[in-house]
Amino acid sequence: MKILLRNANGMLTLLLGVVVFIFYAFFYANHLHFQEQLQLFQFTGPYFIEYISIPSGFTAFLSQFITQFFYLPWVGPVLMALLMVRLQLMVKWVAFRIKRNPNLEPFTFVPPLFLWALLCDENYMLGGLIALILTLQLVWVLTKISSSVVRIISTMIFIPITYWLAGGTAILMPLIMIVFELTRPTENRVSVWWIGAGYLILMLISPLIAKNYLVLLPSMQVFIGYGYYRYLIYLPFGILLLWALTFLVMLLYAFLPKSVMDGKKSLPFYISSLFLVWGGAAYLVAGSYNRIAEEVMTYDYFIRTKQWDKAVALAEKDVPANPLAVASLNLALSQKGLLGDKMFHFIQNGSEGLIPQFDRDYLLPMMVGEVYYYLGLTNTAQRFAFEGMEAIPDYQKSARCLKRLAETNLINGSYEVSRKYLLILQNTFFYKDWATETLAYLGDEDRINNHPEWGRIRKFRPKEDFLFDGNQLDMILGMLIQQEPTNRMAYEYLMGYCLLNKDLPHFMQYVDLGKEIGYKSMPISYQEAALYVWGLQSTDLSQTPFPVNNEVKKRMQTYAGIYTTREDAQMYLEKEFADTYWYYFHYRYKNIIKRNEEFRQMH
Amino acid sequence: MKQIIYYLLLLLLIIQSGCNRPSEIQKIDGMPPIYPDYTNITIPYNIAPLNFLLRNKPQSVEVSVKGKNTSFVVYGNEKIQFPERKWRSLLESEKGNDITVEVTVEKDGKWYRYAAFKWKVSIHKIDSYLSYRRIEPGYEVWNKIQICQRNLENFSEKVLADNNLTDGSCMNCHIYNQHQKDVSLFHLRGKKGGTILNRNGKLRKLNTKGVNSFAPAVYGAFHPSGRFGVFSQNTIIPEFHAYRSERLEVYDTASDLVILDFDNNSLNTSLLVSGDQTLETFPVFSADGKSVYYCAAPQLPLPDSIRSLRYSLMRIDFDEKSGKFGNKIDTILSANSLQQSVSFPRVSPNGRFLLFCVSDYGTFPIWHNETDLRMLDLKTGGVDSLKQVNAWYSDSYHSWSSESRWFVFASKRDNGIYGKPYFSYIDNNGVASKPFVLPQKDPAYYDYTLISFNIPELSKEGVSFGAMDVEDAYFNLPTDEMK
Repeated sequence: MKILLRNANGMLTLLLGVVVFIFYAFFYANHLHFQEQLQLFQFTGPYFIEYISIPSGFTAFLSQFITQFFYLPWVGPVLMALLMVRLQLMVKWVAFRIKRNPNLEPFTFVPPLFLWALLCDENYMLGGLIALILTLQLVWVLTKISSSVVRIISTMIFIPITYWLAGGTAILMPLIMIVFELTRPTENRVSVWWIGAGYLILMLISPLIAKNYLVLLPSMQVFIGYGYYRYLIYLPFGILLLWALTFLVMLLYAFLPKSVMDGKKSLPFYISSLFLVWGGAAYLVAGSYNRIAEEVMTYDYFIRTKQWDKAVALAEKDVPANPLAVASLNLALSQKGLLGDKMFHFIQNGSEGLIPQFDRDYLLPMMVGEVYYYLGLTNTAQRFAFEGMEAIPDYQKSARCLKRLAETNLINGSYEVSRKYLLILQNTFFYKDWATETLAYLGDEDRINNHPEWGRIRKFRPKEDFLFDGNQLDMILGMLIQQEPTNRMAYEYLMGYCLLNKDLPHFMQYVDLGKEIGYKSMPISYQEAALYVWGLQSTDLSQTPFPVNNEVKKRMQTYAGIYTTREDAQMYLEKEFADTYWYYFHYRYKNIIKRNEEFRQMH
Repeated sequence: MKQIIYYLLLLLLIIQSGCNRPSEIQKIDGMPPIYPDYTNITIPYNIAPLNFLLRNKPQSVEVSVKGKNTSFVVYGNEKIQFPERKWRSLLESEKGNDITVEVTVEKDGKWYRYAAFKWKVSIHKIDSYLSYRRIEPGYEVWNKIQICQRNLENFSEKVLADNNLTDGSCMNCHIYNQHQKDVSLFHLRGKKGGTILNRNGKLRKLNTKGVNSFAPAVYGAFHPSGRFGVFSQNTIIPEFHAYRSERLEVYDTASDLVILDFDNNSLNTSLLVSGDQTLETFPVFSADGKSVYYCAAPQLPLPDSIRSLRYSLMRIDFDEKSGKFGNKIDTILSANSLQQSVSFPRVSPNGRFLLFCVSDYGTFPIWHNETDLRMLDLKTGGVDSLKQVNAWYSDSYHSWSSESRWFVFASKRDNGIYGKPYFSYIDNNGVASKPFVLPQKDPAYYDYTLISFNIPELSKEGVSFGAMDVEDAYFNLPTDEMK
């Protein structure tokens, strides 16, 4: 039985690693990329000193060190698997120091499985996991000290040290050590309680001393820690629960009577524990899995890494509905020259799905800033990148944003500012090569003008100043085209803006602005819209102000026939014409305004 | 054994250092590429060490510092950090004298000596403390903001207020009365915020938005007596430029002046400096406290007419007995004549000069690259363009030292975005010297920081309150309402 248990437990540990890897590799990969972009880990002395100067700064530093590797596809899932396995093993090894009992080993999976569910929320960060591993590691070391006097003194020394390194997670040290001492054979129980009280007082005093004499931080951060949860002003209940569950496991090992699982009861107990823990975990993880967030992050990842084809392919497989994903998709379509033709093949949410309005959030400005960047509204892209970075709730800097700021300042000719950001990016592992290459561009006007991206965006920039107003996007887009008639994206966004808002009069007014774009034929959705307008004005569509495909004319005839004659037309039209502008015009964007508001509040 | 190894290592270190002494030196005519630029400046004798680095990344550097009475040599790689004790005794012994600084560098195995430059040590010390706000140069969103106080004689810095402790609230404008630590104030926004008034270390929280006011106090200054403050109340609107490297435009749709009486918790105004027709802002008392200088512009349709919005420098009398504005307004500098907009007037404590900013238009000079400082001689009426002080990019927000011999201002001369405090000396003829930046212990600090320094204010002593007191004031102090 023992051999069976040992093998089974080993397999379970392996299983944990495998399922975590699979989860992050195939279902949640972009959550890891998302985490990586919201920090700026630098290999410099001042950066390190800044972190170790605050409680839990050390584990926050370590977690950021690890998180930077999420930049690489596949590495993130491997690291997550290794960390979860490490955590489970630490829980097990510490528990075994209390009382060796292979029957209880399924319960050692509770903390990592719970944490796995917790980390499905992108605002929980790796710091909590690292802090827990470090604390348990130190506890394990303390339990290996055989002399009780040395062990007690060492524990007293290590409690404040662990607090400084790992933050509030250090509470587990005195708690577990109390349990450990209680399970040692001793005649003097009273002294254990006194020692325990001493441990807890030390644990309480440490943050109080930190708060009053050592650091200027709010109480929440001093008592709980930094690097656990992105929103520093909220109490991360999940972390408190994680600590409680970890401690509960230790209590189980210490005090659960052996009679519950001895002899014939061993196997049923083990199996039911297994089901309880893993079944509960499956339920929790499934419930915590945020498909919409992962979708948005996936689109965002494709956009910021310029993988336009992948964004379009993803949408063709599974049509996105939320505005940020749709906005990203529309950007990808525009970069592939497909926006005019294929925009209405996907669900559109009105103009909010084209260029969402600014919000004092961190994610939305970062994503929407991409649109402004490619449009040539460099200053707006710069503002969105800056504001997005400022809005990161835990005061981190963002490598992604800093990179964009270096680019926009380079395009604008503000070379000294660009240099500042590039020098900082040179302190990172994954951005330093790009920063070094880009430094060589500074001041070299010809080189920048000939750069395929920066040169193009420079050309598209406004030629005259105006004060940006997000409520007048159509005017701004129109102005961009008039100043640079080859700015295809601005033209298609203007057309898209009018079509999505069902503003056909302005669409017809602006459609001729695209004369210099160089279309072989007008994009399909523009043909559809124009034909619709002409159709309302005249029944003779043989002569149209610009060429319209015969296919489009035929489809419109069929559409019109159904639309005008059937009361239940929508049902018929949805099957064959859902990818047309006519269908959007008649049936979509009715309740979209309300849905977008709901989404914003949810987000 | 361990001791032998230790002494061997020490010997190696000494030999290594000895190997890095200059030899076969080639002379270079130009100035050394040091950062910050501390070449040929006038410095107070109580300033912290002017640590610098070499931009051309040499292998070794030797810096010789020679005064009339004291000299020493410092070695480094890329960075030069002067030992503080040696530095202090150097400046003490060289008051009124010039110090010659020679930089010799080793690059690719060869030694080069640059042309020497001078540090003129003024006999006038600078006020020992500088407070400023540390904030990122953002638009509408902010994260970390701190008001800090730096000891200019060394590198120690104390945090006076940290918005991380006050619900992330905005905070600004820490100002002193007569450069004294005992009377100062700053604005702390947010749900439980107010104007935090410091009197002898005791904090009070004031609601400076009176019953009939449309906004709380923004820009302002103390009366020399410390009893009154004159402030503007502004409705501030930010807008964003779409063109090139211009970023932010901030204007007021309404602004008036008020007098706050801190003893009686009251505020009053005058029709002459309030109302819809004119925008009044940036008030400051004269050195004798008998008048108020401020900026005013006629109300225009905004933002459409923003480029026509220009402020003139005005003065109105102030009666200390009644605590009220007087009846007479003078135009000191007309925007129409200048064809520029005036902002931030600041009178020197001796009443002789008035420093102000000029920009092409508007009322937010910090984000106008063309903003420069000017100095009005209140005796002669002449305006000094301060060519030796101004640089490319915004030079703004200035304050005087208590002896009127130094002024500090916020300059974005390095890159147009990140502001730093710069100091300039006024000699006996009223001529300003080439400014120098606030020294940092690590001379590379300004390269890697993403923080801007703004609203620099000098004081003779450090204030006694700190960030924890402000946190307590924010959450627990009751708010005094102004009648």
